[in-house]
Amino acid sequence: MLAGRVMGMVVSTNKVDSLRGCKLLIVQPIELRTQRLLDDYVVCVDDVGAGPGDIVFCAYGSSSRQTDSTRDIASDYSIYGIIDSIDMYGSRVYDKAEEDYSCNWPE
Amino acid sequence: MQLARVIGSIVSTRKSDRLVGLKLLVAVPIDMDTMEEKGAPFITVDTVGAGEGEIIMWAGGSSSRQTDLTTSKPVDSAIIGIVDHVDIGGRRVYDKGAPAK
Repeated sequence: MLAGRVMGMVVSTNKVDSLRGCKLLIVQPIELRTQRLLDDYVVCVDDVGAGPGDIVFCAYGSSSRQTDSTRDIASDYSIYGIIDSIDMYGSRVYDKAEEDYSCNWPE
Repeated sequence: MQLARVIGSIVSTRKSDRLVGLKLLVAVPIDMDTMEEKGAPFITVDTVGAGEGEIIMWAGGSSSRQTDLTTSKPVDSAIIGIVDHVDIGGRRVYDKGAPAK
């Protein structure tokens, strides 16, 4: 499962019917231990109500169409969860409650 | 299938209903020649009760949904076995039961 931070959104008016009503977010993959942003972006369909700055996990390919709201849509990346905390090697490397992260977001 | 070592876990409260009850773990790929960690850690779903420190076998893509626990779930990576030992070219490169070096 891809882990990344929600950094933006995409608006598309002229799109395939199956994507109508879908929220499209831009997710920038992260390195899990440091949450450092990697040099890449993916457009994901949001299935959980993620917001700006959230660290999320996404499923790729046919796995991104396995819920009632994503079935049969033209998506190859869907956000399926917002990450609260990450533990690695016995220590907490990320805690959403203790993080103060803000990212620029359009009104 | 590839081998990896479980090194941590993820907590997510707000997630797809279909993922409720599934354990999300962090694993790191291992080099089978040296059995050392090699590559970037990734998130995977546990289906066999794997624990931290164990060497596991995982499947990606739609293959990861071929278990009873992950059928029809939005999962693209799943742990499908805990490795007991690995032999390559007649040499035992990993033995879970062997005392740690």
